[in-house]
Amino acid sequence: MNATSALFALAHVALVEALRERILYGLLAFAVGLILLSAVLSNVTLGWPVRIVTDLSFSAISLGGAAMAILLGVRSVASEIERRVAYPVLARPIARWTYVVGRYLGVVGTVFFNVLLMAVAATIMIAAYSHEGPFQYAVSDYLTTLALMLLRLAIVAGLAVLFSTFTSSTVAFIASTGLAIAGHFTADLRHFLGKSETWLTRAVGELLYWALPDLATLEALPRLIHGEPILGTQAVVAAAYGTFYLAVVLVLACWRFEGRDLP
Amino acid sequence: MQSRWIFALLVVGLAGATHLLHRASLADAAERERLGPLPNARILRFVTSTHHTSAADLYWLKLVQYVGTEAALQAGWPDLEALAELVTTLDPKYGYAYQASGVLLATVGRIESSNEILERGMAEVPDRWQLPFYAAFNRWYHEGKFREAGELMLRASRLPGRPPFVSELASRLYASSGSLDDGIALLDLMIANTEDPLLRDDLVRRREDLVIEKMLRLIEARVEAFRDAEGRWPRTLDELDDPAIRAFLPTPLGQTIRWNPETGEVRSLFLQDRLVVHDPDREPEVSEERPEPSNATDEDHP
Repeated sequence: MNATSALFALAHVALVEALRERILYGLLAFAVGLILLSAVLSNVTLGWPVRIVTDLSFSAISLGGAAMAILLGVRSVASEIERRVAYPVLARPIARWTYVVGRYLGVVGTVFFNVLLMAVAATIMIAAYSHEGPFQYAVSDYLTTLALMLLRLAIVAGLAVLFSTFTSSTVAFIASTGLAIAGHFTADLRHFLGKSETWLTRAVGELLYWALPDLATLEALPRLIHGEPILGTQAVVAAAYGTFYLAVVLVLACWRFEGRDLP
Repeated sequence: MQSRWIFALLVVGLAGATHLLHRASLADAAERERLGPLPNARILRFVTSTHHTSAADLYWLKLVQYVGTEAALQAGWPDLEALAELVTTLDPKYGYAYQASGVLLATVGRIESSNEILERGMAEVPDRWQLPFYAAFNRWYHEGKFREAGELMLRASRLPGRPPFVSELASRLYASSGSLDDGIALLDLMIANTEDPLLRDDLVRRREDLVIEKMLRLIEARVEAFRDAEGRWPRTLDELDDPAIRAFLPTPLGQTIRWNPETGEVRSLFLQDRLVVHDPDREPEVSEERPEPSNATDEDHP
């Protein structure tokens, strides 16, 4: 079995396993419920209801997707090791990086599948409440916003898998949740610490900015609802940044798992 | 087995008490004119990070519910500025929040606050033509500043999406005579461009005020002319033989007009206070030599 087919076989197994998780359906129901609630709330507002529907639906997808990425990511490797399910697989002639990437792809595939289901529900709602033409937003801007959100969730899942390769599920959950939250404030952190008169504080600010993910860069929802163009150089640069950051996280995860002594 | 029943009864009892208390607290909230403490807008903006627009939406919904609260409406929405400030700090580009808050504040007479939020909106969302449009209305209708109103209307007329007649209004305001026809025309446009029932109803009421004021001034002028010619007050308004007055009187607004042939006083049950357009550069449209009101009983027209 070559590396590619092993990778896809592992991803397939991880995807099937993840789809069996009951918590996934709970989160899906929660997010779809929030999307439907946004339609109810939009009926008690003044102005254009489509803004409320878009805003709350995307927030629901984003929060639901992040919760899925973290919960599935932290269990992807750590839980397999804790339950000793990973050993028979790793005993086969499969590189450890293949195992990590395969598990990661399974997690991301599951998250993307669920996000797309939620996105379909949100798109139908937005179309139903659109007041400027059949669909309120330019399709390219809408799809770019969704794509950036998927990339953001892929990074969150990557961080969860990274922690999962060298700690327990619980610690990985706490660490990846903390990083996912902190990732929305890195630019602010840099800004505040950059105002310090001490060079050390400014240097720490810079270091943290480049080490932590800047997830706010990958958020285009405010621009979408304000009707500002999204698909442009800024979005391409943000997507490139996100892709490179994700690559670094996955390489780190593979590297950590390669060097890990399994009991 | 027995303990299971005790727990079941305990759960039902506690749930019932919670429900009753919740209902009582909701009823209390519906009657409150004040909202209680609101979060610090800047801190909330920071905490909600990239979801700040969703937070703004939730507080916008709170603002809408607050505006619809009867007790708050009676008190003149004392917390409206704070809520509008919170919403627009959370999402500084929330153009509609500036617009609706500005209009609502103007309806309760807080013109300074209304102007302030509309000005802030114009700075943050410079492409939204409705903001200078409503600011122009404030200047003209509430403050009698025709020149400033004209400047703002001109600014609105240059923005994308504005109706084609805004530029005409700008020129009319620039050369404004301050006549009531200008006001009625402006309100017609505002009503035509307002989607929300709450705001539209308010604008319709304002328009009706102007229509009645215009008719009262016309009747007063005709009555004066009649007295100059005949040396007495007309017995009925029909005696004035004015087609505009005759056409107006059978309408619902016309039905509110009351004429007193003994004192020469004409008034409307609809318009408690007469409208005065502050325009110091102009002669008053109505003669100030009105007879002193007497205790004579009003007679229905004609």
